Amino acid sequence: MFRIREFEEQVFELYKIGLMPGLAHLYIGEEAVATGACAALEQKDYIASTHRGHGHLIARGADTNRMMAEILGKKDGYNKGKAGSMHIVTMEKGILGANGVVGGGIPIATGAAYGSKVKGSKEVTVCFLGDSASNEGNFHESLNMASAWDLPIVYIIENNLYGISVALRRVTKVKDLADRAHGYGIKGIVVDGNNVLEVYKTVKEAVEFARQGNGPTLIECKTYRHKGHHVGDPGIEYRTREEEAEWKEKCPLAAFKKVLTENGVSEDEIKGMEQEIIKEIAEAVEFAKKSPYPDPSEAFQDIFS
Amino acid sequence: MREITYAQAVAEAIDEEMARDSNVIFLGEDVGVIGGNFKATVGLRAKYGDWRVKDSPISESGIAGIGVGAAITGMRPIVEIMFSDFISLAMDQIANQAAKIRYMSGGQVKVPLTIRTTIGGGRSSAAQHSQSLQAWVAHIPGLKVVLPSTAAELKGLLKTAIRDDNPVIFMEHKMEYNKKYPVPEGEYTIPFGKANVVREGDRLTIVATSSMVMKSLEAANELAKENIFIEVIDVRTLVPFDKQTIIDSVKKTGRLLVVDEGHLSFGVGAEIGMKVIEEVFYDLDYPIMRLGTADVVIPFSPALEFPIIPDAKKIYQKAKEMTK
Amino acid sequence: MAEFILMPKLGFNMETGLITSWNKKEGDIVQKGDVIFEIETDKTTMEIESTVPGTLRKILAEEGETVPVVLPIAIIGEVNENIDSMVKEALSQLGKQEDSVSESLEVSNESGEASQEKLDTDIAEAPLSIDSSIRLKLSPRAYKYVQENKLDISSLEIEGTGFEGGVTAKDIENYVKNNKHKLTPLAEKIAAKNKLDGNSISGTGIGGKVTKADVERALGTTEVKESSPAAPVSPAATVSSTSPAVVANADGRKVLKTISYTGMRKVIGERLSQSKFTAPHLYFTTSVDVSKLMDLRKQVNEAQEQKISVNDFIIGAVIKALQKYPELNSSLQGDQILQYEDVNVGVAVGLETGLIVPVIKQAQSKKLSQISKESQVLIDKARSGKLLPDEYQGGTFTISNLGMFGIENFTAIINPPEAGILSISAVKKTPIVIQEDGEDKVLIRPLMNITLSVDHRIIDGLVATRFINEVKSLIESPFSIMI
Repeated sequence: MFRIREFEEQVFELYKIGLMPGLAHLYIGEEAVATGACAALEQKDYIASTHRGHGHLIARGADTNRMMAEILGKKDGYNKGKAGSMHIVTMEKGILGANGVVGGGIPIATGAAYGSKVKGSKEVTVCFLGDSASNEGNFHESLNMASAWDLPIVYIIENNLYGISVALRRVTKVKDLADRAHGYGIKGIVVDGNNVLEVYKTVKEAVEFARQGNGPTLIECKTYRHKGHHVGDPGIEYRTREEEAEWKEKCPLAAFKKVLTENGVSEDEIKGMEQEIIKEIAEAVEFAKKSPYPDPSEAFQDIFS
Repeated sequence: MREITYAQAVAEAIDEEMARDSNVIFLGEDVGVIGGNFKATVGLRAKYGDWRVKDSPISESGIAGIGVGAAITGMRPIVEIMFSDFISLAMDQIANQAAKIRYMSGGQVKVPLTIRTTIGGGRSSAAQHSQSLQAWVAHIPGLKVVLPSTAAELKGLLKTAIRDDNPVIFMEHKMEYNKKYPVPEGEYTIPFGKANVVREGDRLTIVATSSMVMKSLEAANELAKENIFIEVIDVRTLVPFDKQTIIDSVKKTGRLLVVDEGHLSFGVGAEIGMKVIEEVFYDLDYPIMRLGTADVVIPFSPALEFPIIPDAKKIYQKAKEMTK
Repeated sequence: MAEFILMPKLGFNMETGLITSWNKKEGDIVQKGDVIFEIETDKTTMEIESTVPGTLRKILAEEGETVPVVLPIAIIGEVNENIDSMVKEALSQLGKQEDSVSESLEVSNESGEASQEKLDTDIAEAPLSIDSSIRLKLSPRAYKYVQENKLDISSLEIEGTGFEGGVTAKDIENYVKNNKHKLTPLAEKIAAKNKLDGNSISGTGIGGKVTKADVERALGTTEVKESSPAAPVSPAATVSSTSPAVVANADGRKVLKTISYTGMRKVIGERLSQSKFTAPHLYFTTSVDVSKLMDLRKQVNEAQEQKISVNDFIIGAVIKALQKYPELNSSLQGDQILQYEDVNVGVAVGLETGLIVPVIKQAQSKKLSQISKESQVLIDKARSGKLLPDEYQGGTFTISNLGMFGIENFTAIINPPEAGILSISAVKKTPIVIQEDGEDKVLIRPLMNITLSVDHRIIDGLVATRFINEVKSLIESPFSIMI
C-alpha cells in the first residue's frame, strides 16, 4: 500500500514539473482494494485493470522502474512508451491491461475467464472496475454471460463515489452497486474498501468459489480517491472539503498501520520499510528519467505481429 | 472440381482449423444448435461440443470482448457478429481493444481473433441488415480486413484468418451463402495481401471486392464478346492491401474502375483510387472511377434497393463508357 | 467600334485553322478586303481578307498557332479606342492568360469601386475560362507519351476518344502513326517550288510534321526562330539531311526513299479503294469525232477574247447529257438512290502530291463561257493549293481528262459516292472508213476516246450507253452545247 502511495505521489511530482506527458489517474486513497484483492491471487491468475490502474499493477508485483518509465513515455517502459499511464500491459504478471475506456476491460476479463473455462486450467480472473463502469452496457453483457456459464471471474467495483465530477448518487438509484448481482443470479458483497484485510478475506473467498467452478461474484469496495479525477483535476468543485477530510480520516494506510502496531510491529520497523520503498521509488524516478525516448521509427512497429 | 456452397466453405474451414488446433473456439449468436443464421456453421457444435462452439446471448460487445480476452490469454477465438450493421454495438471492443492491444502493449501481446460478419444488400433486409461496412473497420490501424469472393476464396482466406495472430475482420457476403462454387479438395490456404487477377485484359482494370468480383466478371465476359477485354482483380484483403498488383495492371490498361458494395462516399473505391494514383498518374487515360452503393439509407423495397446497389449491368455500362 | 476578326470556318468539317502568316502587324491600317493573314487547313491554304476597315489593334493568335473556328484571332478598330474588355473576352475564349490584367484594369476603370466589381467578375468567371481553355484535354498517360516522345502538341488537331472527349495516349499514337513525316500543304508547296525533298526535312510539328517554317529553315530563307524545346532542330543538320542515304531493305532490295502512305495520299487511296471494292464498275468506251468541235472552238475563240478550251466543251456536253439522263447524276445513299436536281460537275486535277477535284456547282444554269471561266479559276486554285473546302465538295459527277498527256485510252475509278465518271483521252488523227455514195472511203478525222465508268449497282448498260452516246452526239454536234 505504501509503495502505491509513494509511487503515485512521485507521479504527481513528475507531472507538476512537466516531466510527465499526458495525464495520470492517481490511486491515492484506494490502495487497500488493489492490495487486498491481489494478495488473494495466485501467480497464474489474471487481473484486468482500469484507467486508474497503477495500484493494481504494483499490487500485482509489477516493476516500478518499468512502470515509471512507461508513464514518462520512455523506451524502457513496459510497453516501450506506447501505452503510458492508462494502458500498461504486462502479461508476465497476468495483467491483461489497464484500459482507457470505462468498462472496456470487463468483456476482455470475461473472455480470459472463458478461455480458462474451456481449457480447464483453473485460473481465476479478477476484473477491477469503477463505480461508473457498472453503468456501462459492457458490465451487463459480461456479468450476464459470466453468470450464465459459471465463468471463473471476480468482479470488483472500486466505488470511489464519483465518475469524474458526477456523484454516483446523482445518476444511480441503488445505494449498493453490489445489489446488481441479484439481477445475474450471483452473490453481491459490499466491503469497506479502505480495510485491506477485509478486502483480502472477501476476495479470497470469491476467488476460491470461482476456482471451484461455481461462477462469478460481484464485490463492491467502498472507497475514496484523495485527489481529483486525474493529476490535472483539483477536484474541488464537486466535492466538499468536509467530505474529503472525513475520508482522509479513514485513510487505508493509517488504518492498516494501526493494525500492524496493535499486532506488535514497531514504528521503527514500519519506518524502515517505508524508507526502503521511498528509496526504491526514487530509483524508479531516476531510472525513468535516464531511460531514452523511443526512436520515432518505433511508431511504425508492433501494429501487427 | 467438386462444388460446395459458400456456406459449406465456412463450415469446412472452421472444422478443419478446430480439428487442427484445440485452442480454436467459436462463439456467436445462433452459431451452435442451428448452425448459424445463414447455416454456415452447421454440424460444428455437435462435433466440438458446447464450450468450443458456443451459442451466445445477444451481446455483441460482450462476445467480441470475450474474443479479445480469450485471444490474449492463449486461445484462438472466432466470433460471429451476424450482420456487419451490428459491429456498431461491438465497436469499442473491435476498434479500441482488439485493434490496439498489441500496439499499446509494445508488441507483448498478440490477438489471434477472427471476427466473422456479413455484408451486402439484395435480400430486402432494409436499413439495418444490409450495410457493407468494410470501410469502417479498414480505417482502424490494427485490424486486418478480408472480403472473400467465391467459396474457394472464402475457405482459403478463412483458414488464414484463423491462423493469423492478429484481429481479422472477415466479411462474408450474405447473398453468396447458397451459391455453389468449385472448391479444391483437401488442405489449402490463401495468403493475405496478395490480390488475385481473375481475368486478364488490356482496356480497363476493374478492382472489385467480395461478390462484386463475380459481378465484374459477368460484365467483363459480356464486354469480351464485343472485343473489349477487361482485367478483373479480386482485392481479397483490404488490410493488408496489395497495391502492386493493381499498379501493374493500371500501368498496362491506363484505366481503373473500383467496385465495392459499401457506400460510395469516403469508401473503399475512393481509398483504392488514392492509394494507387500517385504511382499511376501518368499512366491514366481516364479518371479513376468507382461504383458503390449510393449514399442513401438502404431501402426495403426491392424496387428501391436494387437500383442503388452496383450490379453486373451497372458495371458493364460504366466499363463500356470508360473504354469507348 | 472595334470588331473581332474570327478564325473562319471554311467547311463543315473544319474545326481548327493554323495561322501560317500575318500579313499585317499591330498598328497597321487595314482596308476592307486587304489580306491580313493566311491560314492552313488539312486540305488547303487560304488568304483571309479583312471584313472591316480600321487599325489592326491586337493580334490574339500568333503565327503557328492553331485556333478553333469562330474564335477571335485579331481586333480591328479605331486607333484610340479602348479594347481592353474585348482583349479580355477574347483571351478568355482562347483560354489564354492575360499578361497585363492590372494595367488594363487601371486604364479601363475610373473608380476603385468599379475596379473591385470587375475583379469579382473575373474571379467568378475564372473557372469558365479555364474550362474553355482546355483545347486539348490530354489524359495523364497521353501527357506522358507527349513528354517521352518529345512531341510538340501546340498544333495538334486531334479528336479525343477519352473521358469527355479528352485525348488519350492511343489517340496521339494513332495520330503520329498517320501523320509521320507529313508535310503541311503550304510546306509541300514551298518545298516543291524549290525542288526540295520535303520528306527529308525534319519536322517540328506534331509527330515530326513538316511545317512551312521547317521548309524555310531548310532552305535558309528565313531567320531561324527559337526552336521549340520539345523538338530542337539544328538548321545545319536539317540541310545535310536533304540527301537521303540509300539503304538496303531486309529482303536485299535497295530502298531509295521511303514515303509514308499517309495524309492526302492515304485519303485518296482509301476513297478509291472503297469505290472500287464496293461499287462494281462497268465500262463503256466510244470514239468521238471532234472535227466539228475544233472548228466551232476556233470560230468562237476568234470572236471573243475569252478562250474556251476543248475541255470546256466536253464539260458542257456532259452537263447537258446529265440533265437528260439524271440517273447518272445520282448517288447511292444507304437504301436510297438520290437523283440530284443540281448538276455539280467535278473536274479532276492532278497535282504532284495527289489528286483533287474542284466542283462547278449548279452548272446546269450556267453558260458555257461562265463554266469556262469558272473552271479555269478552280483549276488554278487547285494547282496552287488554295481551294476552299466548299470548292471541292458536293460534286455529282466527275470528268477526268488526260488528253493533254497523249493518253489514248484509260478507265477512271468513280469518285464516291457519285454514280459515274467520264474519262477523256487524247485527240488523235485517225484514219476512218466511211460510206459515201455507196462506196467505202478512208478519211482522216480527229478522234477522241471517251470511257464512261458507272456504278453497276444503280446504273445498267442501257442507260449508260444512252448517256455516253448522248455525250458523243453533243460533242459531234457542238452547237447544241452552246445553246
